[in-house]
This record gives sequence, C-alpha cells and structure tokens, in this order.
Amino acid sequence: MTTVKIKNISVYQLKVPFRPLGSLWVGRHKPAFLDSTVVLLTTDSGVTGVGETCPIGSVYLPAFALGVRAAIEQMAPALVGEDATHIGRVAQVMDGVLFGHDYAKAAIDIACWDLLGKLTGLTISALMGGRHQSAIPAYASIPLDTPQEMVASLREKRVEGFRYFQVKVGDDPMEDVDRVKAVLASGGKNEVYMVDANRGWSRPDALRAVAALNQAPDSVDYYLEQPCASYEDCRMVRSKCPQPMILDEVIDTVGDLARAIRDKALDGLVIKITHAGGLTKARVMRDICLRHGIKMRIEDTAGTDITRAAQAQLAAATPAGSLLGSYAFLHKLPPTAHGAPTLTEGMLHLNESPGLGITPDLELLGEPIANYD
Amino acid sequence: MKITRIAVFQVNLPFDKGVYKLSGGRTWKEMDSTIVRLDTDGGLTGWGETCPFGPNYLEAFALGARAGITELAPSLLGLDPSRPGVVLSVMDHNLLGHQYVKHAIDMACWDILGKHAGLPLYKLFGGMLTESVPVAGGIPIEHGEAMDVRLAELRRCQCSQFSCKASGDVERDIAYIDELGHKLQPGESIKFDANGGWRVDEALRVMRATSSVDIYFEQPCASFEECKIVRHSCGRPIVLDECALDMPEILKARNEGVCDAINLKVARVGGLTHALEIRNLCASLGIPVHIQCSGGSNITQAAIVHLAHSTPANRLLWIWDIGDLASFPTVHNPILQQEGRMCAHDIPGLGVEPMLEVLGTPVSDYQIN
Repeated sequence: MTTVKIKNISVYQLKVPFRPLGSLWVGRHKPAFLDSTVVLLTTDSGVTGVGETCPIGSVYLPAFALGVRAAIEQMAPALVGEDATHIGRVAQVMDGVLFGHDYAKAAIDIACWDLLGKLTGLTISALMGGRHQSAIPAYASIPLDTPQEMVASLREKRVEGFRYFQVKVGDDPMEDVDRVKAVLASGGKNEVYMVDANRGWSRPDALRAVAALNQAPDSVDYYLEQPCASYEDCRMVRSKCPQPMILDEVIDTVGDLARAIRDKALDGLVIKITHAGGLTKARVMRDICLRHGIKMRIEDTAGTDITRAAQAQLAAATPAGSLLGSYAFLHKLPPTAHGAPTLTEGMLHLNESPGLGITPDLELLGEPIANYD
Repeated sequence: MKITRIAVFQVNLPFDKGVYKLSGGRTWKEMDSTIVRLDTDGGLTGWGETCPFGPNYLEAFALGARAGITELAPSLLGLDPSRPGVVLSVMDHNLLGHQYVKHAIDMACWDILGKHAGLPLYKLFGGMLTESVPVAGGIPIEHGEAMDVRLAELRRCQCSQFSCKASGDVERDIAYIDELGHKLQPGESIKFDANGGWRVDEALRVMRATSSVDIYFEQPCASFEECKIVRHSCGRPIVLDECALDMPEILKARNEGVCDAINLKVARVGGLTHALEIRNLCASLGIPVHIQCSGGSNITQAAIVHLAHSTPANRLLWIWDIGDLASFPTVHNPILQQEGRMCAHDIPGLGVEPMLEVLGTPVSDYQIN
C-alpha cells in the first residue's frame, strides 16, 4: 500500500442559522446563528476528505467554536505529513499533542474516514461493516412552548411524515406535565415519544413530573431523556421511575457508558458524533449499545450537510431495530455540500457515493480562515 | 456483490509434538480444522477458518462447525459478503449461538471486504498501531534441564513472553512456577494458564505460594464467579479467557474488578466483527488484550495478526503462534515468526493464498442454483 500523507489542512468557518428549541435557552442569550468549522484535508495522493464540527453555542456542552479552531491550530503541525488512512494512528498523534478536546478532533477523524472511503471507492458505512439500510428514520423536535403550540407543531410534523418525536421540556415541572399530557394525548399509533428535559429539571422536579404523568388516566408511553444535569441524578430518577431512560449530555466517553451500564442507568443513548470525538469513537459506543440492547439515536450537536452525512453513515451501518432515529436538521441550512442525505417522509435517504457521499461546495465555503501546509 | 458458492474443506492439523495436554487430563493429537471459501458473482473470493481445540475444550466441535455451516448455507447464498455486519445479523437470525461456526463465515466476509476495498484488514480495523507484534512462546510443564532447553530455545528466537499451562495439580504447579520464576531474566514475563482447572481453594494456594513471582494468571477457575472470588481475595492480575464469551460478560467483569486483561480468542467471541468490537472496548477502557484463537492454521493466524497490528501497543500483551503447536501449513504465504515478532503481509484482505492441494476436494459445497 502506498502512503496517503496529509499535505494541507484548510479550515473554513460557516454561519449556521439556529432555532433554539429546549429549556437550555430559558433565561439565556439565544444565538441566531451557530458557528461551524469545516476542515478539508488534502493528501499527496490528491484525494481529499472533509469533516465538520459545530458546537451548539458555548454553553450546551464544554465545546465552543473558537476552541475548535484553536485546537486545530495546536494539532495541525503534528498532523501534516501523517498517513490519513491509519485512522487510529491519526487519533494517537492528536492525543499526543493535545489532551481531550474530542469535539475538535472529531472534525479531523470524520475527514479521515471520508478520505479512506474516497480512496477505496466505498461508503463509510461499507468500511464499517456494511449498510443495513439506506433510509434511516429521523425524529422531529417539538420546541418548548405552550401545550397548544406544541400540539400544533406535532401535527405539522406528523403530516410531514415523522414518526419519532422529541418533546422538549425542562421548564417548570408542572407546566411541563401539561405540555407532555397534551402532546401524548394527540399521539398516534406506532409513534415514539422522547420527553427531553435537556438537564433542566432538578431531581425532585423530575420525580414529581414523572409521578404526575404516570397518574394520568390514559396510559402514556414515552422515553424520558436526560431529565437532570448530573449523571447521578439521572441514575436515581431511573431507579425510581418505570420509564425507559435515554442519556445524552452526561455520557462523554466509553468509560461513562460502561459505568452507566453497570448502574443500569440507561435504556437509550444519544450518540452525537462530534460529542463522542468523531466517527471512530462514536462507532465504539454504537457497538457497546448494540451488544447490550441499548437503543440509540445517532446524530450530532448541530452542523450542515457534512455533519448530516457523517451521522447518516454510522446510522446506516447500524441495525434499524436498535435506532431511535437521527437528527432531522430542520433548520434551514446553507447547502455546504452536494449529495447529502435528503429528508423525505421523515426518513433520511443516503446515496451510494464513496466516503461521506458528498462533495463540498467550495464556492459556498469561501476562503479558508486558516491553512496549514 | 453476492455469495454464489460456499465450499467447505476439512484439514487435520497434527500437533508437532504428538500429544497436547491441558489441565484435567484433556489431551489431543490433532486439531480438526474447517476452512471455508466464499465465491462471489464479481469474482472475489474470501477465506475463513474455524478450528475448535478438541471437542471438550469449549462448547465447540469440528463436526458441529460443519453442521452449522450446512444449517446456515441456504440463508447465506445470495447475501452481499462485503457487509460482514449485515451477514452476522442474518446468521444470528437463523442460528442461535454457535459463535465459532459464524466466525469462519465472518472471517471470509472480512477477507472479501478487504479485497473489495483494496486494503489489508488491519487498515479497516484502525490502521497500523503496533508494527511488529510480540509473540508468546509456550513452555510445557517440565523441570530442570528440559525447562532450561526450552527457555534457551525461546530466548534464541528473541521471545520474552512465556505462556505456561497449569497441570491442575497444586503442588506441582507451585514448584513449577517457583522454578521458572527464578530463571526469568529482566524483561521477561509469564502467563500461567490454568484453563479453568483449579478450584477456588487451589487457585488461592498457588497464588499465595508464588507471590514473589511476577505473573499473570489466566482463567484460574472455570466460572466467572469463582474467578471473581479469587481475584478479590488475591490481588494478582487475572486474564479472563474461557468465561469471557461476549462483550457484556467482559464489561461486567471489568465493572466488577475481575478483568485485568482479556485473552481475546476470535472464534470464541464469534468472529472478527465481535473481536474488533471487544478489542475497541478494551482499548478504550485500558484493558490489555492477548489475541489468539481456539485453534487453527495459517489462515486464522493472519486474522489474529491483522487485529493485533491495529491494537495500540500499550493495549496489546502478545499473540500466539499456532505454528508453535501445529506447524502444518495451509497457505503458500504463511506469516512466520521472526525474532519473536510477526508482521502481516501488506496485501488486501487477510492476505492468504491457501494451498489447494492441502485442502483437497470440498467436504461440502453449496451453490446458487
């Protein structure tokens, strides 16, 4: 095998329109745009790979856009000259020059997978063991609002073809109970509901809300998602309530996931590709969930066509029965690439093109804000 | 791409030294290997192998391997073998358990995917992280001069990691560890494998009596629960092998503080797909692995070396060289030990060219009509 050395790393910055949905934004400044970073790796073989990482502002996770660019600046000298097809070695090189900051390393990791795919003519799903399906269910988020507004937006999304719904709560728990009751009362058959507090409830809030919901006269069927800020609080809530628990923001690493499995603290996991540290680490988490009967939402924090393609490649290589949907990217996004998965009838459809299956739109990306040779 | 034909071959692999002995009086003269070739409509072929270590070592036997393939064949023909993850789901749907059977098919699928991608398997598994893979050398239970001769032989091959099998007789095992421990030189280490042959009290006696020797104890007792008692009462590093059947068992062992290392036998966990997942889990959690298989020939050896190459060096203890036990060749281009190390050939897939004259005619052959 000839080597495929990284010759150049170009960094682009994109403004991504943003619509805040959940309780995180109650009382916080709501950004109108997110700041996304796109990385283009060029190799001496001429093959290129693209990756993206787009934190949701700077208060959702310990991840922010300026940090992404600073981390890439820190790592770039060590990356230039590395063989991009030894993806595990690229990870070791990054870990060797910068501790942590997996959300920034994710962009490089995704670009390496794209590159390996382009080089071999295979999709990333194929390189990861093969595609189980080329259409994956997307879920629709119902933004935190009045019960009437939330029911209206549920109906709208159902008409668009969605079957998986995330109901945003995490505000006052009793008002949240009214919201969830209203939404679930209009729920249809064969629909999946995930009630997501985005860490907004205290432990007593969560216990009260779940108790009140479960006293409702009609049977209610829903997953509870990330009710409290800490892992320990979520675990305690899980041990006291009959609802299956989806964890998201409190599972950063494989070690966190291992502990949660030991504690019987979760039934579902949100795997956000860049939060996990890229496709390589997300795949390890995917495999652990798969072998432990834990359902997954494979998605990302935010981003554009590039992020959408990356999440879809991993989701497509995961048996459908284990999926709770992928992020639908409902905000109106600038098209950063051609060939990205398309959303129709609540499903994301992938093409068969190599790597991520996309071609970045260089005109739209504009001039790189940084270049490392 | 579609599987159009599954040809199954049977090869006996005699042990070079005549008889191989394990604790509990288990002895074998040869291994009965099942080698599989998958043909596809596109012309690519993939090779796989499964070879139980005798029928009374694990819940796996050669006749069962071939019966399992007969059972699975109708559902495999027509599948796309370049999707090992999908093929595995189909096999699980059609046959419960029998991981060692699926292992052969899974290996052949990865061989095809590697050839299809034009990549040696280690690249699909994460790239070259350990360039030359350290091999453990087996030392039989012999004392005095016989032990010296074997040690000298291993040292001549630059081998510094020794793998020893317990007899199951406590006093004999203590005397042996004591003698070997005193003959070790700096940089050399021992793995002492009881293959589940001790009771808890026996394991504790051996471990306490040999506390001055730096050693990994492998699968001291048969069950996980027994190993757990031993591990928690002795504080000595334990390698889990026979009871580490799948990822949940391994994660449970780690979470309960019983697993200092894993002997990752590819066949036991159900093939390369599962082994890769478990290796990744272990690498993430800081659990070192010893990669090997139940038994097999050069084909199995290649699969092991590819997985080992893509394992971070500080997570890889060593691999085994099946040629130490049974050197009977099945491929034209075997991966051979050089100075206690092994390196895969840099060619796509497993990189094996089986010797058709050794394989003979298929013992069974399944084709799309």
